[in-house]
Amino acid sequence: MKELIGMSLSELKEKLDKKEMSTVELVRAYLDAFEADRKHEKPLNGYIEVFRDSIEKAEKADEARVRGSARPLEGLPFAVKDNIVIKGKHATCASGVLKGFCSPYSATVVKRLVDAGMIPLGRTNMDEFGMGSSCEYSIYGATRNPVDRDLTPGGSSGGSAAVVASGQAPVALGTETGGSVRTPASYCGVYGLKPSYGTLSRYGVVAYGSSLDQIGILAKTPQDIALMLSFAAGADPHDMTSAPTNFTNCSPLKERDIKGLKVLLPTEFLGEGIDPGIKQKVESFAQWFKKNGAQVDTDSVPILQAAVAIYYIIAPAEASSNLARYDGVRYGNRVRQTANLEEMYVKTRSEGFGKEVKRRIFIGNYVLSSGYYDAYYKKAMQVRTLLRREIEKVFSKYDLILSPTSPCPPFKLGEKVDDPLAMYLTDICTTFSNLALIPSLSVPVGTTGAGLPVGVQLAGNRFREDLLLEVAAMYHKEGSR
Amino acid sequence: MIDDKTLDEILFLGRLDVSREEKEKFKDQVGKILDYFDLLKQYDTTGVDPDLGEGLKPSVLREDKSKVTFNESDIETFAVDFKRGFFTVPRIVEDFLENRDEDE
Repeated sequence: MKELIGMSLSELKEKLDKKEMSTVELVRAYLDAFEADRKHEKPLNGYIEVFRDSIEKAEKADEARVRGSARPLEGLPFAVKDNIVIKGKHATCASGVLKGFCSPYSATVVKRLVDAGMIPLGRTNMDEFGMGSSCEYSIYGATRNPVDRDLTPGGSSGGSAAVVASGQAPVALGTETGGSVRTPASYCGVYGLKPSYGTLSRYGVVAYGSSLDQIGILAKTPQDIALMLSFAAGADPHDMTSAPTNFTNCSPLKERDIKGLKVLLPTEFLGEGIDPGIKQKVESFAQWFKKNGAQVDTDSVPILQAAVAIYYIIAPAEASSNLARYDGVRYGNRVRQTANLEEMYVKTRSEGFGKEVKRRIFIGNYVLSSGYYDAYYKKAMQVRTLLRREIEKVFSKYDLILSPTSPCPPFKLGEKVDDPLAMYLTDICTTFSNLALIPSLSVPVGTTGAGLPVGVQLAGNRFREDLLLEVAAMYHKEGSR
Repeated sequence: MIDDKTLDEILFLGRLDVSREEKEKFKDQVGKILDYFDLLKQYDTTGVDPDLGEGLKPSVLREDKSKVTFNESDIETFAVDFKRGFFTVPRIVEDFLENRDEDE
């Protein structure tokens, strides 16, 4: 029999609904998996903290089930990245500057899932403030990849991907600014959705790049993501950029006819710098589309080559403004015994932020400052407009864009940590979706010859998350036959 | 390459300080990143709108009415130093007086 911790959210829901197990039994299984892993010679370090009160919540869920008042997702556990706030819990963004911060409110997405009956299991490790692609820039130390513990799980939502892949949580929330859900999903062999900008409320997500940020979902199946989305999406009065979409009917996922779909494979994502093993997997996926009657065209979209440069100007510019609030005055950590207020600001920030965050604040202030604004920030915003127009043109002809999620398989911990540009270039296939505000899904498609997980990315038009998930579910179904 | 004066000015804008050794590394790493951004020069952006326009148009607006979000006891749970309804900080009055003397 399949172990509980290996099951998908939907399988667990069925078992709970049929009363084949208790919620306490389920939550305990995940906490036990976490404890067992802590004793490992090289612990994964996916969780920063597990919530011991999850057992009490599980008891209440079991009572509700006995009473017949169970909510739709009653008792199903989930993990939450450390930059999404939960009322009464700490949230630090894996940063020294937010050490000790306890949230007085819950993020809208967390609240909606909890109101539907779900139980937060713990908060997961990440690159500080979401700035990183390897989950190494964290005050809590790096997270390891469950597939090979000497490798990075990807970042910044590396903790969320590691706990799902290792059976320490059935699903997890992560956040995306430029690939932070999809990259770890691909490195750890799970599904990772970055929804369209506006699908999920950003209220309660610690801001990094506000025109790019979005909560994402990591899970074992597309159906699990659809189930979460159906409860978490929708307009929120607390976030004026949230969209009045309706995903309540996206779960259960419908059978999708692949025949007639039009898919574009951009040559920019198959050329130099793409690992041959990954390229082969993308081509196999294209073959699967063709075999099932889809039309797959390979063509160039030259502006995609600009995405990383645009992204690493705009995201740090927005971050330099968003992170100005961490000055030790209101919340988080404060360096005391300073001569004056100015020194308190400088010491609090200099001691609180890690090196990558300082680098990005610096780049952000540089590209926004007088004399450089036009050449960098304004230029990047204009090229972003060009990129968005090109993507719109693509979707006037095609239903999907197919590409690798990452140009390389998971790499060794420490390998790129002192070479920021090399680290940034691992985001080459993901940043365009954030810039164009569209949804993208990383689909696990097996491993390279060396046994390392590979993710293939499906991108769709804005608010077409349903199409991505349905196509992935068809692929998943076929793969498991 | 960024010169020392620009480096210090931009660090100050972010209220950040780094060690002398770190500064050299910083200059090298950030210099390479800024060089990479030069690839954007090849795109003709004459007359192109830098705003996101429709893409980020607010879709949800609240009524323009004030409401209580957090009360003082909520703030006390997360504030660094909160006394009698105020966030407290190191004294600034003396600095102000000293600066005024200098200005005069």
